[in-house]
Amino acid sequence: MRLAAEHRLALEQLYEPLRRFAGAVGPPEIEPDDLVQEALVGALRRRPLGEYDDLGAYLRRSIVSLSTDHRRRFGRRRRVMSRLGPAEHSSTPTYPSDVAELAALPSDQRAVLYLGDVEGYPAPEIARMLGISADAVRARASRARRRLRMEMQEEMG
Amino acid sequence: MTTSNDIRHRFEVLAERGHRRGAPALLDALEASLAERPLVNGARLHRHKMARLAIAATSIAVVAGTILVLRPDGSGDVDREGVLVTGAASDTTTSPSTTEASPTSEEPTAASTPVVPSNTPTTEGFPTTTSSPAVPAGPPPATISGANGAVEMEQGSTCWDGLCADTIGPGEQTPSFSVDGGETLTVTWDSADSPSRVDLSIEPVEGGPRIERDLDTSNPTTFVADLGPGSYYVIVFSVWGERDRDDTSNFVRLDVR
Repeated sequence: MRLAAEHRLALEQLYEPLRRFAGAVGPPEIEPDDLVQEALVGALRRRPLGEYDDLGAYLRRSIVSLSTDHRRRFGRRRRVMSRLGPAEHSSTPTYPSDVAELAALPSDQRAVLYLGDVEGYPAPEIARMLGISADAVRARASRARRRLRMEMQEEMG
Repeated sequence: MTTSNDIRHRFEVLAERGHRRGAPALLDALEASLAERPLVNGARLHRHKMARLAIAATSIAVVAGTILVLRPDGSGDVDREGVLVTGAASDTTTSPSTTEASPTSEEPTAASTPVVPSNTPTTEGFPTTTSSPAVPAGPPPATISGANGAVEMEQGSTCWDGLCADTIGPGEQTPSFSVDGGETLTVTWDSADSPSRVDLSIEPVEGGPRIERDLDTSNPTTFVADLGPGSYYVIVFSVWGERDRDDTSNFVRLDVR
């Protein structure tokens, strides 16, 4: 199947912001490009690309949802594997310590922080993109900052 | 302390991680994957989902049957099947704990009753009000008061006792409260306890820069409405409990004269 030229052009323009977003919210086991591709396949299976009001917002929501699913799946797998005993070497990728606390946040909280603190979107715009209320955006951002603060304080002793 | 710069720096590391294929290569791979596995129409997709549901239901029935056959009276045979029994039984132990969590998760709906009987059973893993005196039974209502009286603030998003609920947030229906610029305002929660953290957020109704600051964690707590004339949304996000497990937000519209 070939994408229409105008859709291909639109997706090429969306690629960079979506890829960064996927890197920011996705689990370490998943390549950001793979998350973007998975979200795109899901969007195409749902309806033709031309029928989306805001394809970028839909794909961001999809990336958050996929990240949450993957995170749960990897969590279950780790629990199962731990019952089988210690592995000779761990295949679970890890982040450098300076981003480990951030990576430990749930994907939906990371999405809100990333879009607000890095991309600079206001709360109502983030709410529209993620399909939640502006109130929920503020609450998630506060929870995320609180958790980051606690984890960083613990690390510093 | 975590600053926005710290967060931005860390996010940059995450955002740039991994192998960058580039848009053309990614879209080529996308087209190739769609060629291998064409899009299905709604009816086929429905049948596909029904088939997966049937497989899942069969699997559950088989596992449940295995437990009943091997452990009819709680004493299963131990040998090759013993491994299966142990695994399955441990799975079943998660179910009751999940169902036990349900009554607890319903508590916020009865949140307006701040008093919980002292003999209320605790749910494993979820300290309740009986085990921690610093946690009200549900998100406590908040009232804002000033020189011209008081008004109850609207309930916003909350995560309480493991159950999270989002609300639409401030809007046209938000109750308003008139104050003078520079007036000291008091936020009081209907609780004998105090929050462990309070974030204040003030943003103009018509849009514009948001003011954020931490407030004292006393109950009541105060802040100065050091604002120019106009309408603002005031959102108070508070964290409760010894382990900071619970949080709630309350908001009101402030009309500054």
